[in-house]
Amino acid sequence: MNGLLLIALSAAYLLVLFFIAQWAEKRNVLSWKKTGPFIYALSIAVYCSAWTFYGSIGRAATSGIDFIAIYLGPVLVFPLWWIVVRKITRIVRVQHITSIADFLAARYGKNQQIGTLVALLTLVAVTPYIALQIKAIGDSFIVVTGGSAYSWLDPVLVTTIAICAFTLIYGTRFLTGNKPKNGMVTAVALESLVKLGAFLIGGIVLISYVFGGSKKVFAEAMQRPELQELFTLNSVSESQDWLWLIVISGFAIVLLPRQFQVSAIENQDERHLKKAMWMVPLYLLLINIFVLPIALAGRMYLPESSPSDYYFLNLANAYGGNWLTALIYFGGFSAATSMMVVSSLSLGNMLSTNVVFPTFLRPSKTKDYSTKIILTKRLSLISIFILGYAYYHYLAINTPLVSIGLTSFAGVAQLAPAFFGGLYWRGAARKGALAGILVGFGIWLYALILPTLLSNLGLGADFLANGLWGIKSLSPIYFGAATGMSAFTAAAAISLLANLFVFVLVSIFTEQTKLESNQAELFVNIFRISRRNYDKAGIWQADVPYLDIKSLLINFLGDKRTEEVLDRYARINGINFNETVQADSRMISYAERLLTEAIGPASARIMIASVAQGDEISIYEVMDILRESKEVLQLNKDLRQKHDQLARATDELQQANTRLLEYSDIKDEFLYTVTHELRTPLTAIRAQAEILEDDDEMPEADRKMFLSSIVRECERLTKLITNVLDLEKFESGSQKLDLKKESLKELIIEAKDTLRQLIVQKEIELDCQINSSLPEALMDRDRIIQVMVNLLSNAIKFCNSENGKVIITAYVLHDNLKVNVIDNGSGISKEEAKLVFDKFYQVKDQTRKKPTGSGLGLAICKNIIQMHGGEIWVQPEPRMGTRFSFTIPLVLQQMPTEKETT
Amino acid sequence: MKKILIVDDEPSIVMSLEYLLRRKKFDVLIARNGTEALNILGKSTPDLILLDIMMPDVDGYEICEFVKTSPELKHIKIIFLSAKSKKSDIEKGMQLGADAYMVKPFSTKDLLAKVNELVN
Repeated sequence: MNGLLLIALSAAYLLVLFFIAQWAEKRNVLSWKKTGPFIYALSIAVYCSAWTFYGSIGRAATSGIDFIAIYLGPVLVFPLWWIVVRKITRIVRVQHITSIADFLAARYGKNQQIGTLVALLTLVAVTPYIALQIKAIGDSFIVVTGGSAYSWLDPVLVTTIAICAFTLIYGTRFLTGNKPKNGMVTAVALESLVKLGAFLIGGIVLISYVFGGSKKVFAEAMQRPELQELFTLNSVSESQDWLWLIVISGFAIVLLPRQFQVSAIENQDERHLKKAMWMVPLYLLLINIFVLPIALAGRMYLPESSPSDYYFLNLANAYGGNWLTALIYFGGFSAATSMMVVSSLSLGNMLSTNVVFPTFLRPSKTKDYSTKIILTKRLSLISIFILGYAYYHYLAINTPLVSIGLTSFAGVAQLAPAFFGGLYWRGAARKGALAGILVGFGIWLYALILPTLLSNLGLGADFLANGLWGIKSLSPIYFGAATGMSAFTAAAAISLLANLFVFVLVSIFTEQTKLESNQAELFVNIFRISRRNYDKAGIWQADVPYLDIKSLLINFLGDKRTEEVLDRYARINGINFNETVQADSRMISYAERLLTEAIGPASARIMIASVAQGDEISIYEVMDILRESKEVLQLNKDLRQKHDQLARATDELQQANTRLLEYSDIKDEFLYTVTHELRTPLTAIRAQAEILEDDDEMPEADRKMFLSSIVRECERLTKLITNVLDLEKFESGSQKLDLKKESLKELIIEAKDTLRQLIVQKEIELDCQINSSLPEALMDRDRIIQVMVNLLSNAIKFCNSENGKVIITAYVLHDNLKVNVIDNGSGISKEEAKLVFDKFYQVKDQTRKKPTGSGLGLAICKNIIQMHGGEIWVQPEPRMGTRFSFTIPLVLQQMPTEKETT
Repeated sequence: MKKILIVDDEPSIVMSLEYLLRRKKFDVLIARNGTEALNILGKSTPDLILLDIMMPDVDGYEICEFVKTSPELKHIKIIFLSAKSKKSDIEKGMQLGADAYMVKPFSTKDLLAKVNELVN
């Protein structure tokens, strides 16, 4: 594929990502109820970097199935996600923490040494990992374009700059303040989808279509002895390797700066964690499905010189065509970019808050740091990219992807004892953490980094072989060689074990400072602290002039944001700030947390200390606060229960009241409508009677006309009154059915006979399709006839006036008798269909003459059918008019005793 | 000859009123629903309208409002004849500018007296 085209496509991809991020930012997608949890879970899949995408295959091709260990570790961690990560996110939120270095610094007494050490350690450990992503982009670019790189344009450098720009725009916008980075997180989640999609599509096309299915690939591989060994664990040392890979990768999914960023810092809602618990392991499974088949296919179908890391791309190139190759390239590209974006953001932040600020920020009441802070963060971020690129350019040329990645993992794992110890062990002390990390980190540098560096530079073969000062056991690779473990496992195991040992030992033998033990208490028992009491745990003495605090905040946050946050604080706490107000300890703690977001916990503490007197409250006081918290929480719980009970009772009362009111409304409405319906015929009767009374000389014909009209209106009145009484009986429940075994067919015929004259008179074609073998059912003879007469006369009334047609069908359906009465009138609308069974509803259609009827017939029908345990409904009949249907159960299961009121 | 428009969807009532008014030498126009009434008002101008309220399409209130707000028609007298007997219904009708409101069933003598009073 043409290099320029690929660059253009990559640029387009980044641009699309950019716009989606912008959209997500505006719409605040992480707070969406349905998508939020998915985005959170997908963003955690940033774990799968280019190393996963290309390196796993490379590893599988050379060492077999042990690549799985790197995913087994995380999968084993996820069942604990709700317990462990929820605790972490809670602490992160309460303490306003923005990175893992802040986390450890805050835990160990807001200590600067810890923060700086952790920041530097992760920087050293992760920079090669970023270089790995750059290397993957560069290598894959060359594979796709066939190495036709342009001398005037380094595509890798261009891409790195583009990704750096993207991160700058979407990350540092929010550097001061813990605002959610919706855009960035959504972009990362989207990239997770892209890389998974590319991997699966590529895998399916190559393995299933090109190579005839994975079964065939495995079968072929089994024929070759050199490939067989890839499937087996064949020694104790190899299972040791597995164990340590699982442990280290399990730590990595929590502790890698980018993982800490997406899973704890960017978490918006603790409930999202639950979705991640099953989604992320599923994701890891899916993205590994094709690793082994592709690795085997690469070994079998590609020339031996082909680099195993790029089997996937080379296979696609050789067997799948240009577009498949490009697709896989973009899968890898998205894996690399998402890792780079999140890692650089978290590393840049750590570098500035834990290395740069502590060194250069000095308390000052006049100096305005707010713009410099953001600038520093931007520069830190850019320098991460520069470091990564430099490492790639000068050191990473010949190292396989996996070994760089694993080295990083082992480095970051050095934080595990101090981190998890700090989370669950109150006794974990600052000096222990410091010593443990230093020892572990030192061994890691000596045993893992040094040999790589030396061999890359072509130096030190003698040193590696004979050890320091000629003492063999001091050689970086001695331990591995002596135990038979791989050099990597040996170094990782010994560094971690030494780290843990030193950490525990020193922690036990050192005394914590008061601030340290307070923080330990607050971390370990985070779930027992209520938010309100948390502020009390501040260590600051009250009565600092408010203006001092304000000017301090302005120095770091700028005017606008300071006004904003102070306004909010004043609003929430009902304080009216003016120049004479003294800030209390809560207010000072609040300011400290705001500063922590901007410059890290240690620097924030120093800044606050410059204006406020530290009041070293004792551990007993903290315990008091905790106990109080606990009591308040218990009290809250009791109150809540009481409150819930009360709310439930109120609710029930309210509902009962509403029902009563509704019932009474319905009654009123009913009475009002009845009287209205009575008034209309009465009006006609009275008017006509008065006319007759006044006019003795009226012609005979007119007299007849009025008299017969009076009789008709009287009949209408009678019918109305009968119907009202009928309905009243049904609705009050006093109407009883006289149930006997009856033949439905007979009843229908009887109803038809009642209306025979009307049918003949209106020349209606009546089509009766009744199954002659209909079984008998329990029915009230007169009532069912009443229903049929009602439906039939409606059908006659509303069917086509020219050539009216009515169809009656009756049959058995699902243990029910079912009857349909269909007319060919002008049909019924959906809205009307819902209303026709209501009392006094009359079909409104101005093209028809007003139908004469009480408006109660169908309401009565509904009652009758429901009392039989059946249903009645109406719907438009296709190509005809309207269809009324009802059912009567063949076996009456239960007599409904109470009728619905509507 | 004074012209009276009857608007009601109840045939027996229309028939009675028509007979009654013709005999008193009124010119009678008939609308069986609101739409017909509006059509007739577009063509001719009666002196008085006997207006039912509950009709399936355009109701009596709307017709009253239409008549009393249009400059050419607002001189037409309107008597509501309705089964709606609530105080609020009557008040609403009068507020819309009707000249009288008679609750059904009404006495034909009272109706004729009201008609005569309004058109002369």
